Order: sequence, then C-alpha cells, then structure tokens
Amino acid sequence: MSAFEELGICPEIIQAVEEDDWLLPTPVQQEAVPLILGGGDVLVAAETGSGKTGAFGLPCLQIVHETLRGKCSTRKANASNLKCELNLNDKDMFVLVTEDGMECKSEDDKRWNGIRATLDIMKGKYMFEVEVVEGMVRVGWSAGFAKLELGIDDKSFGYGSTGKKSWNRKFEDYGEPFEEGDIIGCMLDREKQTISFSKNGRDLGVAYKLSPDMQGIGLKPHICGKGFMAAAKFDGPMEYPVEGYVPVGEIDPTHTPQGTSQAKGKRPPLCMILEPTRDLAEQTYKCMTTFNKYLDNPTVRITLFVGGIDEKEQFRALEEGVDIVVGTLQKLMDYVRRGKLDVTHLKFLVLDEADDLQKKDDRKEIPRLNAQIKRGRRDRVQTLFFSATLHTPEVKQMIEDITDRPIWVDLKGKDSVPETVHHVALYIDPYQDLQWSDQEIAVRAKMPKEQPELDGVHSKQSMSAIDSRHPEALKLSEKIKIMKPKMAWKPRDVKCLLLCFATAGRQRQVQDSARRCIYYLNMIEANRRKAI
Amino acid sequence: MSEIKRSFNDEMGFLKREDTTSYSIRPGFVQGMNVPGKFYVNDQLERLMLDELRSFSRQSNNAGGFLPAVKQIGNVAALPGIVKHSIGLPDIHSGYGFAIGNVAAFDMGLPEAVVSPGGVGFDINCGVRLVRTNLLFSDVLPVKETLAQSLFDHIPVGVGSMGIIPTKEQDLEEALQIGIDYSLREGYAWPEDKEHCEEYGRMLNADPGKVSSRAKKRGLPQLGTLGAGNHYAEIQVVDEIYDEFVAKKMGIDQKGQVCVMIHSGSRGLGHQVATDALVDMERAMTRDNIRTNDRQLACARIHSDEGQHYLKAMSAAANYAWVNRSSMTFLTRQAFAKVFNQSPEDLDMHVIYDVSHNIAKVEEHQVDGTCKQLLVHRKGSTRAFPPHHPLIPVDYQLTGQPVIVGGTMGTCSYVLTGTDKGMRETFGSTCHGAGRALSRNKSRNNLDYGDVLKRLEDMGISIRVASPKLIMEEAPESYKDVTQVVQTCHDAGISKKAIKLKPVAVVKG
Repeated sequence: MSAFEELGICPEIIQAVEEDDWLLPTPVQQEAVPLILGGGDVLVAAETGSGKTGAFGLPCLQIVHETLRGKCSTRKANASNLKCELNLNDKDMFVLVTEDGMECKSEDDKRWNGIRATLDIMKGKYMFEVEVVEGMVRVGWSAGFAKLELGIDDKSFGYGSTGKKSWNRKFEDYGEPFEEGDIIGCMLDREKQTISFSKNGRDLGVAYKLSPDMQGIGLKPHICGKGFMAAAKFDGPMEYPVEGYVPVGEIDPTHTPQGTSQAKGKRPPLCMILEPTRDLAEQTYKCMTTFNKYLDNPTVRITLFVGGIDEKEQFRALEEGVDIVVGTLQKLMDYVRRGKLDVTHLKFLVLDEADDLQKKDDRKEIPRLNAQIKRGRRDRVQTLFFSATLHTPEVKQMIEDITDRPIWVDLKGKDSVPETVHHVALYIDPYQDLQWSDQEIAVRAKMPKEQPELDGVHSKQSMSAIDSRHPEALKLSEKIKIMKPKMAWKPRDVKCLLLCFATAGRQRQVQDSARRCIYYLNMIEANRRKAI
Repeated sequence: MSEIKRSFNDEMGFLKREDTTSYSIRPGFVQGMNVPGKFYVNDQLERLMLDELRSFSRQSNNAGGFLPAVKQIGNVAALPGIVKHSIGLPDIHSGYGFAIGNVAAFDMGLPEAVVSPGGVGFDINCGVRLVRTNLLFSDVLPVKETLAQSLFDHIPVGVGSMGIIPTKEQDLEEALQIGIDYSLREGYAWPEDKEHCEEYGRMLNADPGKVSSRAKKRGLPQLGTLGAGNHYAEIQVVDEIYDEFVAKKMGIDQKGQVCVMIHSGSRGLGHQVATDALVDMERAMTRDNIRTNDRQLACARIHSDEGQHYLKAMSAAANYAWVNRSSMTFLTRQAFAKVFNQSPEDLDMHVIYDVSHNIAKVEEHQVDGTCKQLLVHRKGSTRAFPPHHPLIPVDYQLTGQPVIVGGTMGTCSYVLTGTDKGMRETFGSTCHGAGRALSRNKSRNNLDYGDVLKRLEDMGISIRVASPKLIMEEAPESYKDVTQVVQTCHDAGISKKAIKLKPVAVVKG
C-alpha cells in the first residue's frame, strides 16, 4: 500500500506519481490532500518547492474524475443548483441591482428601464412575487431577446401599476391599479400556456394566453419601471402562494435550458487553476497531465490557457469540452468575459501563488471572476489558496471575501519573511535615558564583589566612567550578554554604527532592541574615551 | 520483485489452519522468510483476508503497488533478526510496508537485527485513552447536544487547526524530551494520569535533537489538536460488563456509566519523523547491504547510527503524542466541567488507561526458554501485558493491563485485559481497533456521506465533524466488524473482554 493511499488518493493517480518516484507525500501534501478531498475551502501556506502543485493537483484531479464518473454524490446538489436572481448582465444601464440579485431600482423617471432574471421557463407552472417599494412599476414575463421595456413588443407580457396589462404596445385594462407596499404575484403556466397575475394574494384572472409561436420560447421574470424601486422574491415560501404554482427559485432543472445544458453533452470545466505567470501555468499543466496519465473511463481533459498560443486551438478544445483549465488570470478572465469559457459548473477554484496573483493589477479581477463563477448557483465552489505566504492584509481580505469557513494549513508558520521593513531612527542619550533601569540590579551593581563573571570578549576590567556613574548600565550588559554572548567586532574601531535588528513587531523584541542600542552606544562611548 | 506468480490454490498451500482462530504461514510463501508467519482470524474475518489474497493472485504481474496483508506478513518475516513469528492480528489490513495489525519482534542481541519505521507507522504513538466519569447516561441525555458542541468547541480538530494551549519552541523541546511530565508540570495533566499511561507517558530514550527542524515546525502549531483521519473524541456509555472485578478496578461499576475516549497521535510531527527516517534508511540499506522484499520496508540495523537516530526521534514523537492526548484530556475535562458545572475532580474524570498502538519498544520476552531483549514493533496493535507483569501499574497488577480498543464511528468500543497466553504467543500484543475493510478511496466512491450521517443520527449519536466528506472513509461500512475482531482475540486467548462501550456523541476532524 502506498503512503498516498492513506490520504485517500485513488490507485490510478498513485501509479502515475509512483512512476515519477513520488513514494512519500511531502508535508504539505500529507496535510492538505485529505482536507481538499474532505470538501472544505483550504488555505495553504508553504514554501516554494514543497510539493504544492501535487497538494492541490492530486485531489482536484481525483474529485473531477469522480464527478465525471458520477460516483461522487453530487446529483442531489445538481437538482437545486439553479438559483434565480435578477441578472446584472441583462438590464438597462440605469437599473441598479443589489448584490443578492433580489432588489432593483432606477432613479430615471423619464424613461422605462427594465431588468430580467436569469432563468428561462420552458415547462411547468411557476411564479414569483414583486413587492413595489416606490414608483411606477410594470412586472411580468418576457423572452430573453425581447426589449427591456416590458410590454412594447410581442415577446413580453406585463402588468403595470396603472391597472393595465401590456403586450406589443397595446395597453388594456386588467385587474386594478397597485402602489407602494403591494405585492404582485406573476404566474406562468406552461401547461395551459397562460400568464396571470395576483395582487396581495387576490387572483386577477388570466391576462394572456400565449400564441402557439410563443410556446416554444422560454420566458424569464421581468421587472421594469420609472423612478422605481422593487424587491423580487423568487424563492419560497411566497408571501401569497397560489396553488399549483412553484416558486421560480425551486425550479426543476429539466424545465429550463439553464438546467439541461449539462445534459446536452457539453462539458464545461469543473476546475480552474489560476497561476500568476505563464511559466508557472505551463509547469502546473505539465504536472497535471502527468498525474492524469492512468485515469480513464472517462478521461479527464486538461487544457492550458495562456497567451501566445493559437486561440483557435483553444476554442476547439473548449468546444469539445474541458474538465480542468490551467491558465493565467488575464487569459482566463478574457475568455470568461467573451463568453467562451463557461464557468457555471465550476466546482474548484484554485489560486496558486495567491500572493503573486495579488501583486499585479489583478487585485480587483479575482473577486470579479469569483462573483462570475458563483452567480446564480447554490452549490459550493471549493476555493483553494496556495502560496508561500498568505499573511498580507490584501490576501487576507480576499480570503475572507471569497472563501467559506476555510481551514488553514500553515506549514510556514508565523515567522515568515516580513512583508515590510520599517526604518526607525531612535536617538538615545545614554546619560539621560534610564528608562530601562532596574532598581534591584542597580543595587547589585554597587557591590562589585557580586559582579557576574565577565566573558573576556567584552572585557571590562573595572567599571568605566559611565558605568560607575550609571551602575544600571551594568545590568544591561549582563542581559545583553545573555542575549548575544559573542560580538565579532571591536567597538573601538567604529565610527559610524548602523544597528539592524530583525523584529517581528512584537513589543518585547522592540524593547530588547532599544536596550541593546543603549548598550552598544555605551560601549562605544567608553572605548572612545579609553582611546583618547 | 521477481517472484513467480502463483495461483490462489498454490498460495493456499502455504497457509494452514491451526485452530478455530489462527492460521500459520509456511516459509516460502514469499522469498527469504526467516521465520513462519501467523495470523488470527475467525470464520467471518477469514473470508476478508483470503479474498484479498485471491484478488491479488488474479492480478496481472505489472499492476504494481497493491500487496495483500498476508503477503506483507510474509515480507516482514523475511527481515533480518526477526524472532518466532511475524504475527497478524484479527484487525489486520494492508499498510505502508508492514500491514496494520502486524507485530514483529527483533532480537536486540543480533547485530543484523533491524528497526523499520514502516513497522511503527506514520502516526507514531497513535493511541487511545479512556477517561471515566461518575455520570450516567441519564445525566448526559438531556444535555447531549450541548455537550457534543462544547467538546467540539474545546478540542481543536482538523489537520490545519492550531492548538489552543499556548506552546513555544522551548515548550515543544521539553514536551519531546519529557512527555507527559511536561503536561504535569504545566498543570494540564493530573499525577494519576501518568500512572495510567503505557511507559508512564514518557519514553526515556527520547532525544529532541534527533527530531528534524522540519518536523518540529509541523508539530509546534499542532500540539493539542485532534487531527483528521480516523482520530476522534467520543462520549461513550458502558453497554456491557463482562468481568465485574476487572471493571471495578477500572472504576466502572454499572451499565450506563459515561466515559470519554480520545484517539489521537503525534500529528504532523510523527509523520515527518517517519518520513525523514525512511529516506535516511534507504541510504543505510545500500551501505549495510540489507535486502528486503518490498521497497517500502526500508529499515536499518538497530545498533547503526540510523537505527538509533530513528529510535530516539520516534521516542520523542511518542512523547509528543502523550502530551497531545493529555492536552485534549484537559480540554475534555474543561468541557464537561462547564456543562455540568462541577469540577473535573468531582466528576471523577480519571484516565482509566492510555494505550499506544503504533510504536516500537525494547521489551524482555521468553524466546525458546531463554529471556531475550527484543525490539517489538507494534503497528496497529496494542500491548497487552498479563497480570503481575512488572511494567503495568499497581492498580492493574491483579487484572492485567487494560487494552482499549476503539471501534469505528457509530459501532462500539471495548476494554480488554492482557493474558499470559498473549504474552507467550504474541509478545503480549492484541488488536487495536476494527481495521479497514475498504481502502479510503473505495469508501469515498461507494458511500454517500449524507447517508452515513443520517444513519448515525438515527442511532441517536450526536456528531460533529470538520470535513464532512471524510466521514465516508470512516464509516462503519469501511471497517471490519470490531465485535468479531475482539471476539477472535478473546477466543484465541491473547486478551480477555472486560467492558463494552457504545458511543453517544462523536467529535471528528
């Protein structure tokens, strides 16, 4: 049995790494692999060359493979994976949406501005509710390609606050007017192909019967208005539930193209590995391909996305389906923005050398990418940070923003290389500054017989002029000797002294350094006098 | 390995059923066996054991890597300096080099005798400790969830977690050097705790200087943490008492009495010590011309520098594990004290015993009528000394050493005692737990963690886990039946059943 098996790695991957002569896991692998396989967000701080690539590569590859085989219990998660929310990318410019995609508003009181939700409804009976907070509002359903002003073309069906229903620029009386505080229910029945509305739970009757040419077109929840503010409710329980209708948020994935896209045989990537540079991306890609050697039924497809490679080639790979993408942030972000790379099924986001990813102008890009990935879904995206150090405030902030109860694997410990070096100039007058003095030692210093033994390196045969005047100084020299028993330089030759102390900003160390300064200055002063 | 592939029937020719609970393995089963092998199974466990061998003999030659536990027993029997038998206990399953559940003793008097880190395992001095209370199940039932949560909040779990007991580098050095005496000095352990630990909680030959700085770096933040994998802290109640006298000696006087079991080891530090030694010993093997059947059986002569180096570092790691378990005992006592608003002393939270099941120790045993000094490797196996043995505490002189066998999550655990027969047959060793039946990877694929959690809930077990998916690997289905394992040991006479415990709350990494 291999030592890797103890971590839960599958035999195919073990065989691949053993051929590479990886017989024993490195510390970072031993600690991180079970945690990643365990399904949590993991933050790893370990030195370069400590086997980090393996630490995330092996478990990611294994879980992706398990997922592809459908043996990992993810099916249940898939059913409720779809989340309905107002779509940031499908709205008029003046409409503002809250982070959770549930509330929207527009200050523009001249024109009608609209926004649609994410899900297309093809089958079933679904409803959502809109609470009017203020202004003129029109709510209803529309096709994804209809105009954003609801009810002005033949692909959208609205009900406005003036008590009119609107379709194809025709405004007809329907129901009754509504105003601030009212809750409007919007029901879509794709079995009977009807649209109806309710006001505060009172059914207003069928507003539209869909024409046959509309029946094959998906409809999305739609809100539009003038100088308005409204809150949508897609998830149950509804304020005023209507029998037979299910909240849009609880949609059966087979009732919407968004839910069935995976079933169509397209293979969007499951794992994204971000690297700060092209070289690193290539290295990681190579490693991943090696680990992947023996995995089959099905094989895991890994593709490298960096600049300087023929784009056509990469697009073709994407068409065919990719499971793991390795690349630089810029390139991947570019593809995501251009809609070439579908990130809606991602299960893993790995940030390798996370602090390097932070250093460039990418600081804002990562949260943006993260938001893109996590939009419109309920399942977790396992986020992994790997880096030599994760202790800078920026990285910490990012970790807080995009991970969920992460577990630390800190093999680097707190004594990592300091992020910053502070230069401090402290002027000390050894004659005046006696804040470090200690009564007890001062008493002892006055009784020369009880002097500690001198070590010969900083020999002080007798008390110097300064010492006799300031017996406290002796106590200091003892302490210094304990701290640093040998000094390689002769203070007498020193003209200018630059004292450098490595402190990690702890109170104690700073105080000690100050004491040492005073001591060295004392010594120099004494020696100079001797020389004169 | 250039061994010829044999059919399953040919393989079986080397195995012989000795009696209802044991098999012997004739030399020749693998090449170069110095002594015969032996393993303990009953009818149910036999099937698992032989199925493994059957699928191995069907395997094509180049499908490398996997070796069944029986073959591993054989490979260990081929190591230089081994005496009597290479022994497999009922819970045996394949491991790195040595099978887990393998006992092997090497004669310290022979210059060629070896020590092998694979015979100890990566988690050095992984062990189980049982703490009793004077509470009854009826006292715990109303506050069960609170108690489980309190325990989870107190004990740092998970691989990456940091201990909450402050430790500095100097503390670590001392912990490595003096083991439980460090906990005692710092006030985390009671003096009675030390009395009830194997080796009194401190290996005297420990040398922290032999522990690499890398290992220390890993160990420092993890001191006092539970760790992931099969480690756990469990609140259990006494389910059955087989031997009233023995139970009384342990302070258990009735069914329903509540105990706490802590299963943990030496964390990253032990793992690093083992890894360092394995690398080190590969070199020594070429120098001393030691040949083994399996590359994973890296070893070095006991008296060589590498061997001594490893033994000292291993002892230091063992000390670390005791400090670790002591720290968690302290936290457990705190958690109970807070929930019941009584001091741990008033709750009578004494350690019943603390056993190590991954360790190598120098012990004296009778071999062919003479007393010999042996280095006994116990990997996934617990020491079980008989009554009147000088190395067991005064309290247990009449009963024999308590052996704590932790079952899997959701099944049951046992307390056994050592016997004279065990001393003669297995170098005073017995089983350590249930033993895996499925590899971790197989469990991942065959089980669903939602189901596993649900089942535990249905059984009335409160559970707190840090990484949910890991529990598939620890589900009862992944393990052998602990009751069968214990029964086999009992029937074979290598240890005796005393108490059975069943869990009511589990905290895991």
